[in-house]
Amino acid sequence: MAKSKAHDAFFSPIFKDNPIAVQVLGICSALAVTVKFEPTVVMCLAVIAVVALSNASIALIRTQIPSSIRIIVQMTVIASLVIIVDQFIQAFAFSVSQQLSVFVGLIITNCIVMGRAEGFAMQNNVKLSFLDGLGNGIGYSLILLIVVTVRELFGSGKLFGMQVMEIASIDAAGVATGWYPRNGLMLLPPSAFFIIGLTIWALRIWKPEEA
Amino acid sequence: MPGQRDSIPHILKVAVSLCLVCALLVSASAVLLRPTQTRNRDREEKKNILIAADGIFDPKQHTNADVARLFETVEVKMVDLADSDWYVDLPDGYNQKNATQKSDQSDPVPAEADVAAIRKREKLSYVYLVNDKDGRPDQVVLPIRGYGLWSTLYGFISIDLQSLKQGPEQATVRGLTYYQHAETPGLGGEVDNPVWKSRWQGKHVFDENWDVLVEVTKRITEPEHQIDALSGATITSDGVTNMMRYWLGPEGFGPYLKKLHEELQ
Repeated sequence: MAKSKAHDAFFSPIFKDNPIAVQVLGICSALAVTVKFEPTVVMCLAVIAVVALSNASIALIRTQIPSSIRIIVQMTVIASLVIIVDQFIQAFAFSVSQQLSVFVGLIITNCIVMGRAEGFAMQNNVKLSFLDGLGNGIGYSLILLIVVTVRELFGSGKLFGMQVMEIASIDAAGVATGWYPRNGLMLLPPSAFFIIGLTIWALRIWKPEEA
Repeated sequence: MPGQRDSIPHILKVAVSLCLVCALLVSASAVLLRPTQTRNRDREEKKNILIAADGIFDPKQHTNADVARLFETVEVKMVDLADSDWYVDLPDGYNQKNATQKSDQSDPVPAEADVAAIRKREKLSYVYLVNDKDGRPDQVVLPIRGYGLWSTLYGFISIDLQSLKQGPEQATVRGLTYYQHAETPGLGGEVDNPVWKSRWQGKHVFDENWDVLVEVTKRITEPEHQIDALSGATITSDGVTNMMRYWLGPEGFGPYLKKLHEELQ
């Protein structure tokens, strides 16, 4: 029983109950940070770290939290974790931190983090909450990686940060190079809406019972 | 249990201890990681000085690991802007960005002269001299800043020294870069666009009386000192023009460049 519970806590948010595709939470950052591969990966790792650790810490003190101030307590824990993660990104991935700018700070307001703290960690033990946070972070990352792969491939001709399609352009000497005319829409946030929409559609066809 | 958990003493106890623990963790991470972050910011600034200096640092060829080596060719000097004095000694631990917040290190800019909307100008400014391969003075990189639409833009402009030597009307721009701003991405944020920045190369800076001519404009009539404006970003473009007028003009580095011109003779 315990094993299947832990298994459920970790795996169900990845496919069955995916925070973006099924609960449609955390869309804002999914639109903003999915133009290039590297910032997206850093953002995913940051969200995984924050949601897993916040879930675990909230679960650890859940019996002590007075219900009248529980939301403030959750926010304080989440905000502190986000600041710490932001400090780490600024120290060890400086150029990415400049590209992500405010979006790391905005993890505080990411509905997934708050939602899991209030909806899961307040009722479950540390281990289950940690696994649930990890699963939700990975579920979020999965969708972001799908979105960034499509956007980067068609928007800048790159796959995982490496140039696979030469962009058509005219260099300084006036010589035309490359052959792929980039799709400008893919570089703009609305394209992520379309890709997320199509992903949700695909997921519901694959697993209709979750609709 | 729930009654006891919601009692006021317990609420206060939880709130205070939570705050203490969180504050401790946040400040510990900030303090411990600060040296690494400062190193990153320093490197970023040096990288931008090298990018402005006619692309000594080329993002296509070089990585962050090359910055320290490439920066060895740059001579860091300090100019006293207040007295338009020649080089002064580098004060220990001087932070030019913080200088404007200290009344003994900066002067208020009179409103009529403050075209770049900076309000306060530091007394001492770094300048970066770059020599060419034969050791001849090649270019000087100057820190500039000014207000655009939403934010102060911080950047560097490089002036060619061999053309400055021949006279003010000959002096040309070698490069321009911005390393910090919060202009609208896609509009004013296009100040970062390498194609636009490359249009600055070779533009004439002054007329024969050291009046700043270089400007960003929508309709180019005198291509030798005009740069095409950024579409959809009139205010940012005007901000760039204004900061050129200020920093290359008599209130900024104008007197220093004049002396540099004489020195090079």
